[in-house]
Amino acid sequence: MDEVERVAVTQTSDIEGLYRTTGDRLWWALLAFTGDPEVASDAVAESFARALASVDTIRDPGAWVWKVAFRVATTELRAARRHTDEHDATYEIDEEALGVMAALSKLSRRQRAVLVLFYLDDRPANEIAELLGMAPATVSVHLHRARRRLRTILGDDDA
Amino acid sequence: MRDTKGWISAITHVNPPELWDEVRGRTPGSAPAGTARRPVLAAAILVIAVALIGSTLWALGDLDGGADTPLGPGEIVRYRLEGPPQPIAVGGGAAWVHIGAGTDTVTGLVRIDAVTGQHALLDSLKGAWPAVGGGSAWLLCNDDRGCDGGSVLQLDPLTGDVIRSVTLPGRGAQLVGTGEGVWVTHDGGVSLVTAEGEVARTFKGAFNLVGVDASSVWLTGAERGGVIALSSVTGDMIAEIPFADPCNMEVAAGLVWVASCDGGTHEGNDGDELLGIDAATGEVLFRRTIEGYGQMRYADGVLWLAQRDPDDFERIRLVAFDPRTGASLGDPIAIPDTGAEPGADLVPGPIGGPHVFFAIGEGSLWLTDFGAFEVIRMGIPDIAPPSPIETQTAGAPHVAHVRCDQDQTTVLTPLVAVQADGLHIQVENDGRSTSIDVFAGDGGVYGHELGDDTDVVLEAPVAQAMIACDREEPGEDSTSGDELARAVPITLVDPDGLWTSDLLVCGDRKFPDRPEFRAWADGNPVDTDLGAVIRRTIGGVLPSDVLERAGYEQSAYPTWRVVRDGQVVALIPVRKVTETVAFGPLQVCADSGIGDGPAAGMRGTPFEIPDFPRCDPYAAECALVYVSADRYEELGGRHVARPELVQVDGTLCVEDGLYPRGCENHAVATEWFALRLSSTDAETFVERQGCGQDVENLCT
Repeated sequence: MDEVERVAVTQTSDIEGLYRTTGDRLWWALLAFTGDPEVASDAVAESFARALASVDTIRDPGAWVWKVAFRVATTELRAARRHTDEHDATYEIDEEALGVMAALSKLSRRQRAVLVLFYLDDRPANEIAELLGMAPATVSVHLHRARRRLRTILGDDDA
Repeated sequence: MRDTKGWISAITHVNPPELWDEVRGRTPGSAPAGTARRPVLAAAILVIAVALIGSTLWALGDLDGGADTPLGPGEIVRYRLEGPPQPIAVGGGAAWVHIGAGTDTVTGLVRIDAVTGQHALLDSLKGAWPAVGGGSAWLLCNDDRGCDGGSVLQLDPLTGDVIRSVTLPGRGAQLVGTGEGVWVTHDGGVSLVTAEGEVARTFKGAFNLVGVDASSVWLTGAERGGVIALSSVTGDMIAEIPFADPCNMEVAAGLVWVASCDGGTHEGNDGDELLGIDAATGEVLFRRTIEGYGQMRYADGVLWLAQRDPDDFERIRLVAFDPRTGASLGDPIAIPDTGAEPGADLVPGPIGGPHVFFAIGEGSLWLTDFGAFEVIRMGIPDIAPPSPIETQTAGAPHVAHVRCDQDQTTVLTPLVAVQADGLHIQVENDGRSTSIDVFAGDGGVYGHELGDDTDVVLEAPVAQAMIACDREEPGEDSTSGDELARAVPITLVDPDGLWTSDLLVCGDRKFPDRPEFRAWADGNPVDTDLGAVIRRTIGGVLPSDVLERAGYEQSAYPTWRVVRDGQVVALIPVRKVTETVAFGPLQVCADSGIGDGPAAGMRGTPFEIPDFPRCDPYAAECALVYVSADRYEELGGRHVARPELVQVDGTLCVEDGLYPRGCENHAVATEWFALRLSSTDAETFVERQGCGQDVENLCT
């Protein structure tokens, strides 16, 4: 069990700017993580709303928002017990994306989180480790296993 | 050919919604939709109301009400600290807890006096993991905490003053206190640091978690997982038990428990696994799934697990288990929530909520609430002890009485207890029967010729049993073939009363129809973890069921029982055979009896049956099974041995080891597929079958 880590707190008032530049990537990452666009939207909105409310005490809003969003999404997903095949009709999700989401759902929660942070947000392992509260080496293991599992499900992989 | 990033990028085909207006709508003054923030004000009002009502210490706990010890069962006291609490250890009249996270909170080590409840911050001590042992408190401190390399600080148990700093052979990972001092895992292995400050012993290896039994040090592998026991004197390996992603361990009362954190299961199942081990023998006592994860501690015959509620990470709960069987003891105990969370938003926790660190000592359970900046101390709750499992031996006679008439067999004692040397039968023979046979559900026939003897002792099968008298007329062959039709059932009870033969079924299948336990290779490491194989291969076994060894001790007849809600619901016999077989996990099987035409796929190219849940070496009578390195990794080595390469015609082959022709067409020694056959067996097969033979005939 890893000790809980904390990112450095830094102050900024440009939460909206952060939303404009990273909101989409965060939403995609949450969609990949949860398989549920409603949960992704709710987590994005909630995390940025909390950031706005705490703007004076946040020094690194980028890391802060991502961490809160994943926490919110995880909690909500657990509570709602939603399923990946219950997508809101307002979201257009093509077959390929659905296939990927279905494949991702077969990964463990941490594997999924590591994978989406690595590939959808291009974060290095040490940042992912900080976000998820695990050792960098553990991130590598999860990433390795997640890739291989996905390869098994989806097809070939050059990774 | 698409790579992982390419696949994942398909997600970006979905258009994200515009959410800024929603964000603004959720800022203070507007109630957030979905995951509402906790009503801190309301909770504070509740605290006040409770205080006014009084005498409800149990309900929410006394904040910093330290002197009311010892606490009654379930009674709670809370200690509000200056920063978020992290790892905690208890002993010697105090609790020691590291507080802080990063550079923006108060950090240090807090000593909480177990009697007075007074707590003092030692802010010069930046180490992370505390322990109590050898009459001292200890703190693991690495160079990232301002210490010299990897060190353990020995502290005065009363004041926290540093007595000495002991340099470790490497950066420290974990530590556990003992009567001698502390055992510490580090980059170079595991070391015993004595109370005199000496590094008395170091055993090399790559370890993470550490626990100590009377004569052994229990460790988890830092790189490949698994559980390892070393002699605490010589460092010799005593036991090695495969286990995927161990991240919590507790050793106490001659038992070892290991649990995973999102690692023990796979394929979308977020559950984790809890493994119970007999520390003296290394025998796996049980393996069960658990919901969520957390640190485990043992006290007074109960294994406690402290965790965030998997359904609500804001809340902390305790789960109790029978330490020997893994059975759940009662419902989880929710820790009442005061609503205080000074660090909740400032210091958001990782996915799954911040960890609950957990210690037991001074008559209490001690838990950390990261966001609340609190240590929660609870009097050990009363838990009803596990109810004994009722057996059916009472009254069962120790001798079976069987009457052999001309045309029929009559069992006068339908229930009989097996004695240590076998099944005793007293036969009333009309004089014409020449033998008596017991037909066992495992396919065995145990017979005894009847002469003048009327008392017979037969080997007792661990299986369903039928008994029949047989007669052989002069000049005729045995009536073999008819006697089974005339056999009558008899229920056997084992000497220990742990099983009865009529229960030797699981689900709707009886043992003779279950071939998975026939093929069981000698030397297969699954010997140490047969419960996992049973759980995976037997229909009707629920994830919450506890599997444990039962019945005879003979290695040829291990029996496992399935315990559900404290009751034995099935007993599963296992037959161990000595034939060398190939084995491997779920994915690729070469057996004409599995799937839709798998044999057709066996020419050169391994085929996959990814969704076939019973595609298992133990489900294949043919027992020719490929193991993919992928799958091996994914299972964490739990069920299979490390793949071995085979030597065929001077060429090292894996996938095509049995097929020289295929070997020409496939990469030699590819990492992806391996077959576990000794080279001798492989060569024998090749010689017998010839190159390119269809595998359908392999088992003939």
